[in-house]
Amino acid sequence: MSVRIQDTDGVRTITLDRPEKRNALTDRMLDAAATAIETVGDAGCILLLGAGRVFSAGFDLKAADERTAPGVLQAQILSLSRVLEAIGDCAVPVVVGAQRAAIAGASAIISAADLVVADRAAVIGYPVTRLGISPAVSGPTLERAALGAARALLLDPRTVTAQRAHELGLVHELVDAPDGVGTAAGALAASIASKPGGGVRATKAWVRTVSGAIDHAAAREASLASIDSETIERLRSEVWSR
Amino acid sequence: MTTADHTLADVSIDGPIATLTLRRAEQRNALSLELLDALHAGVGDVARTGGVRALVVTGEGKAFSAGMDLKQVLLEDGSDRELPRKLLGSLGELTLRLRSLPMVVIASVNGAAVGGGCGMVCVADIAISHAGATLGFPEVDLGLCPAVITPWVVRKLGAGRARAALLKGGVMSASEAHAIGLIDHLADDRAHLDVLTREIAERVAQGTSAALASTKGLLNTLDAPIDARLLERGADLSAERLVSDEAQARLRARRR
Repeated sequence: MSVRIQDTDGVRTITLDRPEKRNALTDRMLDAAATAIETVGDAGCILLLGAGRVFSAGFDLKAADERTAPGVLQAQILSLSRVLEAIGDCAVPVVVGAQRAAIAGASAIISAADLVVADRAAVIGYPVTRLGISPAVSGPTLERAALGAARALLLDPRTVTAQRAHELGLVHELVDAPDGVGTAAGALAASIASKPGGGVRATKAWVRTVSGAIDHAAAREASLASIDSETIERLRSEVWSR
Repeated sequence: MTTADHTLADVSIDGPIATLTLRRAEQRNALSLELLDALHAGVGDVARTGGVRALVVTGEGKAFSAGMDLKQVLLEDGSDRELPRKLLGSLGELTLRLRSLPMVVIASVNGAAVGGGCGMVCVADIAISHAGATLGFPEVDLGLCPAVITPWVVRKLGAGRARAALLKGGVMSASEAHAIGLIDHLADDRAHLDVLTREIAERVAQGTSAALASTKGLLNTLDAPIDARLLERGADLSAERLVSDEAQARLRARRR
């Protein structure tokens, strides 16, 4: 399954565990993460980490080929959308610890998270329009987190450092060493889980109410609509031939 | 429709990248009714040109745009009292047209971007400037209200930072503008702005038309409820301030 789930001291830790593929996200991994978030139960906080050197390189585009690509991409987009929705609907905060890189689908997860810890030099962004894939699925959550900068992040296929993402409001806590991200994010999750009474749950629910509903359906439809014959051509020259 | 004067603003097309340049340099690209007409015409030309995936908007000379042409809104005996409202209405329509374009709009802020000029920066999808430029909203310093551009400023900066920027007046350095998210990319100096703009426009234009149009389309749905009616109400409100005795007295004092 490539996703590990562990409940310890009120924190549910979800670990993307496919380090040999830079935690490239398959639809099944995203579904497993979504289910773990949707069934949080009595835990006081969710902690989402990536095993190994990098948090995640985004969608596993090599899981697809010429024949299967449209279907595989559609499944990944739908499962990612489910994760983003689950994070917003989750009764408790979701903390993400992202070391070294959170690309495209992984940036989308950061945009939806309540709290993000990253190392200063970590790269975050959506370099996917040049692959013929729209990152619109992340649009509503990214706009909430980074406001007007969402356009420059989604329409320009580049990455920014976590330092800049912190200035934009997308990352909330910076650490110097990439290998310190997991510990710092773990401490933050433990601190949230240990808070008394129902304050944290009530506050998360109220912030969601005040912020208004997010139209995830429109966002994922826009991403799905971008997949065309040019997408397959770009994947052939940029991904599958390498 | 009036016939637009293409010497005031022109469009050049280079493959997937179009450039719309304000050319009223001696008046710091102040937005006169004639310049706004020329910009409307330019945006229309770009919209009709197939295959354009990035539109760069920039200004000739030292300024990007000094904002409303205050000479045109200074009311004197015999001047057209409807002109301020026409000008503001035209600016509102222009901002909506720029935002609605399916291609990525990049503001390359070559110098001062003030008031309505800074509003156009906020409408762009990506804003690039250099350390020597200044930006801001000094309307309140003259007793005016930047109502037409306020929705776009709120979209770009968020309500908290938009309040601060709009209510304190004055202008800020491009570095400060970068720190609050008004500018997305900052070049070291004027000479490097063109290089950086070109680099970003070319990278953006690598996106497929479908990916860019779906992404921008979704982002534009998030703009609701900014629409023609809201911008017209903004123009009403802004014009009301502009023709007030107090604002007119300040404009006259500044002219001397």
